Amino acid sequence: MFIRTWFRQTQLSMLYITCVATIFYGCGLSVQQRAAIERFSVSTGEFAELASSEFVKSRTDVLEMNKLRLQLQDDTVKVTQIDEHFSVERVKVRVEAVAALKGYADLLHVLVTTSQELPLRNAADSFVASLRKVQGVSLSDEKAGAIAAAVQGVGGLIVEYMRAQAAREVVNAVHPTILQILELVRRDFDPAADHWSLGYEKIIVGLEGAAGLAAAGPNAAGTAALVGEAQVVAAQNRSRFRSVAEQVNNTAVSLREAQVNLRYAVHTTDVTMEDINSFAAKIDDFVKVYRILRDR
Amino acid sequence: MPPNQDKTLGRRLLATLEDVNALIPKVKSPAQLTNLRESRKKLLQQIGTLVDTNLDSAAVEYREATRGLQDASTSIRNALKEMESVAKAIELLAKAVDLVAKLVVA
Repeated sequence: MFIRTWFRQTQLSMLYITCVATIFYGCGLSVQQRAAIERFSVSTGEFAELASSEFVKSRTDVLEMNKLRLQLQDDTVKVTQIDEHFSVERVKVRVEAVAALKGYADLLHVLVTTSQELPLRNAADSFVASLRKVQGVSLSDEKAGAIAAAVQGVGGLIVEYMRAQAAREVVNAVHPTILQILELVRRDFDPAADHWSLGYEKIIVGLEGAAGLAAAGPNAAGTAALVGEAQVVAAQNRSRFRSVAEQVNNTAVSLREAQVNLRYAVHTTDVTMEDINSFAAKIDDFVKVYRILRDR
Repeated sequence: MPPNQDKTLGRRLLATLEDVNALIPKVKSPAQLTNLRESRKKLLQQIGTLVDTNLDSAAVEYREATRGLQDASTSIRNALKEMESVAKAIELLAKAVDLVAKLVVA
């Protein structure tokens, strides 16, 4: 009697879970939404790698250029501040920010791609094994398999619902921060702004000036080789930095588009044929399981 | 590059510094060279002060953004844990059924 009551309750529970899961399923992530997150993740990786390496490279270049200025007797450079404007702390805060951006994008990717299939299958198998131990309950292998599949299916739908909810909430909440960090990095490398790029170009022009002064000074012949080296380094760094600044700007624009698209994508409710087929297959499973339980 | 009048203060100072550099090879006397040295020094200081101010204020914004992203990452980690908890809930259900089975036998 007890077992029969319990089993009837289980039937009702299964139906309840099915209904809830059916509602949940409509809120899962579509293929397009996953693709938008994938694109965002890839764009972020490219952007973070480029920006991070360039922040570090800027400092290395500045150290090299200021050493040359010191050798050229430029009294506007202090030995104690040879990394002028590009201190370890200033580089660190920027590298950490782009690393946090990449870390966020990687985790978002894990959130949408991580599979709970195996843990759910193991849990469902464990559930059926326990069910078979109950006195008065006898299940054929076929029925046990169907119940396990249903339990796993319902668990999967709940997971999909949770995945979609988390992705929507996080993408929405972090949107202003992503745009802020993109603007900060873009502005740092903007050749028309007064930020990182101005500091870098100031050192280049400072090196050119130091070379000019040495060439015009009383020891011009003795410093000719150093003057030539300084001019080459200045020209190379200017050319390289301009090219990098353009790349940073392009990747920032691309990532901004990816973020805006992602934010839109996670809020749309477009349903593809693939989604519908998958949904129909799952409902089929539930119906089968319900019949098994009802016919007992 | 924007026209000179549309340039920022820092960019105009940098353009002036480049003009000073261009004049250095053309000087006719040590006095002129000294004047250019002084102008160059002042321009480098002014640009330096502007850059330092801007980079430090941006550092505050970078730190805020980093915190925001770290919070978002924490939210995702929590969501991943919650997703794992679905399988754990089924495991708990299985254990409950086990207990029921034992009770029935007893």
